[in-house]
Amino acid sequence: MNDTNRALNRLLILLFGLLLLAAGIAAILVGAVPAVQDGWRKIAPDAYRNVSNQLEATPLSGTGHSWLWIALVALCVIAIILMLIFIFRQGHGRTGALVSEPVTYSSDDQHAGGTTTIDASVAEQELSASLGGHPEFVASHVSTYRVHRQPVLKISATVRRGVSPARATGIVERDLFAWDRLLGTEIPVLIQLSGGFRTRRSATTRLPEEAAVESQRPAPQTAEAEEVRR
Amino acid sequence: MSSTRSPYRRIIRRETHSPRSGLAVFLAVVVIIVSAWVGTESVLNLLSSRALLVAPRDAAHALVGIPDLSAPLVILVGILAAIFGVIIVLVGLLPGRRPRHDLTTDRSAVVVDNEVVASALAGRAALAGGVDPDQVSVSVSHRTAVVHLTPVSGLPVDSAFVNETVADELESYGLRPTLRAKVLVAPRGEIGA
Repeated sequence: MNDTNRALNRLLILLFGLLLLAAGIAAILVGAVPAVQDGWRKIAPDAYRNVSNQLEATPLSGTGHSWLWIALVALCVIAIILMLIFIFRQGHGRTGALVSEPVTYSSDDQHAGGTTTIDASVAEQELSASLGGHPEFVASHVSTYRVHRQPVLKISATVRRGVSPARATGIVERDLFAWDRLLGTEIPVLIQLSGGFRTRRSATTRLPEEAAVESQRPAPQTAEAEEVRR
Repeated sequence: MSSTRSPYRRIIRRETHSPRSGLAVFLAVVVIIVSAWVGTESVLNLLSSRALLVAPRDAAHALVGIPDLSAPLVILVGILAAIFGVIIVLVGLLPGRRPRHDLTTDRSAVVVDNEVVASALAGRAALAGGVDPDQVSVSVSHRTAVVHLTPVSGLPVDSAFVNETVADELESYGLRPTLRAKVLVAPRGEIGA
């Protein structure tokens, strides 16, 4: 949900991959095809001589070397800077303001105005608190991002084993509707339900009541069997 | 109130696919290291000092004389480079789907990890099949949910009922892309589950 420029990531990966592939194919051709080897033997020395001439034709006063080397160093520095900028631009986009609305009052004699800003932490704390009260979630975390210039809430909830995603969504949305009424507007929301069931040691849920009523085997027996085994 | 729907499409797409940041950052670091080396060699060359690894002149000489190097070595290096090149290109092109599904409602965008769906289905299948949840293992992929059920010896499992239960459950979730249920009951049961 962050600001990472994914298209740029893939573009750079593709560029690098294609260059590497081209170099690899060139090496295979030079190693395997005699015609290419002969061609190389003919062209390469000329190219070498051309580059040498260029270097001699661009002397840096007094040093006996060409200033083209300095240009090369400058290019390298630019490349390093660009790559560093690229690396550090990965993943931003969190924001602190939820709603920011200009407010104007006017009466017969006076005009006044201002801006009402609601901080994101208000929503984050409010929703975290209400979500924490539900047994269906092991943990939850609320954060705010900016997507297309709109603030969007992200609710990440770790769901207990066996809880259906539809039910988990319903529970979160109930709390969300309460918050909507409180705030007065609907903020776009992303709900991310994750599991974390890798470790076998996490607590198993008791079977939910509605399912127990429908099942053939009575629920208490199953719970007992589980306890005996654990 | 401005439309709340338009950010959802972008959000869901980004939450269900990999950003490829890892590889991109790694390659950027490689470029940094190589640029730093080339820059250093150039500076050392300008100062007429000894080269760090390879002086530009020697590197150019080696480049010109490639055809005279041992051919198998050059071919081997070429093959390795080509293989890595292809792999990197593929990583750049392939969608990189995450193991998640889209459960978006009218109010909010929702993404669910596949393992949450799997554990919920396992619970329902265990109830429908009359077995302990430990006897059920579910694996959820992009389009299919496969339920493996090991019955208790002597107690047959109504696999049609299990199939129906799982399929109904999946339909009630409303996941995108829709999951097809497949229930496999093991031919040999386990004792005393």
